[in-house]
Amino acid sequence: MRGSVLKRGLCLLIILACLPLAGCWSSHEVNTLAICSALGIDKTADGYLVTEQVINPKAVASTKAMNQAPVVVYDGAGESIDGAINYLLLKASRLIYNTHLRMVVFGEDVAREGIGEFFNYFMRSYEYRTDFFCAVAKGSSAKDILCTLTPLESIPAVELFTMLKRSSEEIGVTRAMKVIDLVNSLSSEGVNPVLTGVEISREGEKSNDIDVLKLSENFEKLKFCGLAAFKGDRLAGWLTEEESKGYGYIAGKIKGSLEIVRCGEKSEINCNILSSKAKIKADTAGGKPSVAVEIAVKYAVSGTKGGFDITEKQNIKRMNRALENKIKRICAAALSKAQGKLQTDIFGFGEAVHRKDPSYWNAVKDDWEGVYRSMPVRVGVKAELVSIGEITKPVYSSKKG
Amino acid sequence: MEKKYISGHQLFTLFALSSLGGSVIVASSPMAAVAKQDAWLGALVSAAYGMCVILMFYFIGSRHPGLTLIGILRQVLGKWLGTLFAVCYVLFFLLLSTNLPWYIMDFMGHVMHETPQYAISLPLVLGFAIAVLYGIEVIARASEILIKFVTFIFLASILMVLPNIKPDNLLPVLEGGIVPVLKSSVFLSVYVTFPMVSFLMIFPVNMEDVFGAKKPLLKGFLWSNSVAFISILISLLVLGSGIVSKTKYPTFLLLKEINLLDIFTRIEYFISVLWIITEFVVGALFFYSGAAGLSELLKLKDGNKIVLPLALIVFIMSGVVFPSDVFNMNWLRLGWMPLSITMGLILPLLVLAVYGGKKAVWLIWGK
Repeated sequence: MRGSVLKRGLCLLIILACLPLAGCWSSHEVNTLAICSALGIDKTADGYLVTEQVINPKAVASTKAMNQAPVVVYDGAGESIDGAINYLLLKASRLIYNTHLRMVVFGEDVAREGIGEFFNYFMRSYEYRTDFFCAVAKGSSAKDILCTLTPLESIPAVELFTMLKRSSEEIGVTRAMKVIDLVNSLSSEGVNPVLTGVEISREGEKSNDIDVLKLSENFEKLKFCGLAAFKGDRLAGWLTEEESKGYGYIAGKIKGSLEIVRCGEKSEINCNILSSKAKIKADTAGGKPSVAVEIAVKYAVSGTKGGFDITEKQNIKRMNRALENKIKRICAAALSKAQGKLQTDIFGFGEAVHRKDPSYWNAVKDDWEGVYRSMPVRVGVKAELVSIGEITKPVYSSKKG
Repeated sequence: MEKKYISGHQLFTLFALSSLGGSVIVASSPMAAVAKQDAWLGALVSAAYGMCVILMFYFIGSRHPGLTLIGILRQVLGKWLGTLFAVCYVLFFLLLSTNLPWYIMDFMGHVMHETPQYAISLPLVLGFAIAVLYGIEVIARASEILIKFVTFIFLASILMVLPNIKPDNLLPVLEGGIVPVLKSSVFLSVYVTFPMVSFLMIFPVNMEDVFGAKKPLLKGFLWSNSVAFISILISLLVLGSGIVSKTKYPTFLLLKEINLLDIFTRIEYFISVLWIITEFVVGALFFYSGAAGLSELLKLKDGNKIVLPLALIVFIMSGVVFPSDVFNMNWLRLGWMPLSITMGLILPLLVLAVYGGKKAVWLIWGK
């Protein structure tokens, strides 16, 4: 009896000991991995130059002051991204590990040639998750962007990631597009993707040396600038910052922003946009498509200038009108650029038509671009004041005396 | 095998988990490929006619208390034809129990691609064998506990992915008409409905009151279909039909999207826990059905004697049954669909027709 219990116990122990073995087989210890935070893709004559920003654990994890750069940038040329990354092992002792990727930066020439095929790779490879953001390098190569060090976050990719997320929430000039959304808009016929542009603001010393991080200013910084509008998977052109905002209002992507409006001669009011919602309604009556965009904006007043009394009911109406007109102007600028010069449907009007009238959409989708170019778009804005801040009438008014 | 009884609630949990089986993580992809954004309607259609199929299984079983599927086939179709079909069913169940470890191996192979496949399937097949040696009662009791895990993991992950939904992804409704929706419903039924014919090996014998099986069966079916429906609907809402139709494991990709306040993120492997649990339960069920059926066919006194040899065969087969995932995809389309429909719909209908015919003849002759 006792023996059989022992035997059973032993059997159980052996089986239990075997179970976790299956999990150890493919283990990669952290100190054998080169954890990449950003990936850059540039064009070369016969393929791509892939740049990987690898986190340097010695510099990042040390408690002492940094005497090594927090990231090391490896680059390799190859016919495909995967091929180039594979050859990076000739330069780095550790396995390139992309699961913690935060940013993918496309060079402008790559973006003009098409980024669609890259996402076949990103989605197929098990190594990539879908939680990184993409950007297009403007005025410099993707490699230069990845080489730039940043003062606030020691890992530049994390700085870019956070900056993109925050700026898209607070200013609305950028767009933090999720990979899933990006892939959907790349494959959909009724909407074209936009990516945020990133540039190096050249205002001093080159920031690829940790010595520049000792300065408080006068060194190169990374900066997001307007949106890159794509046609299909190819870069069609750049939107200015105001046009980017207009895109945000129409596509309903603005979560917060700031608009300065004029009411009357001298008065200026800072309107802090708290939320913005957009509804795109398509109409295909009579085979003539048109789109109406209804934008509802909630805002708070964060500052006045010129003695404008915002406590008066009439003035609030004036202020609302002024803000509505301002947003309409911004949207009109974005529309005319996208419909006219770039000729790309970045707002998803095609999708709206598709949802509204599938049979009509099937008839026009092959020539959607032509229809879109001359399609009338009506933008209606409704602004609503939510809060006027901590004071009522201005504490200082220049009219005094 | 000695007679063991399971309760109504145990039948419900066992049926629910087995019916869900492998479908939750894979079925939405072929469905979206056919019906695009209307695949969720396909899940509803599948549930509607699946209910009738389950009622048919119940009807067949409840008219033959004390007989397994093997016994029913022999009694209704006669000794020779009945035995022939019984052999088909035993092979069908054993084939299924070799497929399920392969799916786990394929899925885990994406993550642990250096691990030999057999290292992943060994614990599973060992689990099947141990479960069957302990008997159906123990499998059913385990399912009672496991269903709580599964429900919790599923609800938690769906709740966490809810902030990412985009209602526009479902529009326009019924763009391609009703036909693709009906087609897509078959892709779900071949997972959640038809293979459940294996419960005819269990509830007519292992329930004390066979008529009490109706409610648990329907409840279990409702549970598994709700889970399948929700996972398909949410996959479409978050990912869009284009991505869903091109992804091997859409639900897994869906959970990759979870990011709650930057804290609850990178938890997609939770869904694989759910998946491994349901695949294990359904695998154990098929393995039990195959082993019990074989021992009944061979009139063995101690059915447990063949469990380990069968487990060895299943273990070896699990590695070679599909040479590659492309082969598997073609098999699902060209082989599995007709096979599942034949075994889970056409043959039971035949049994029902012959049974009804016999009854009618008997009634007329009786008068």
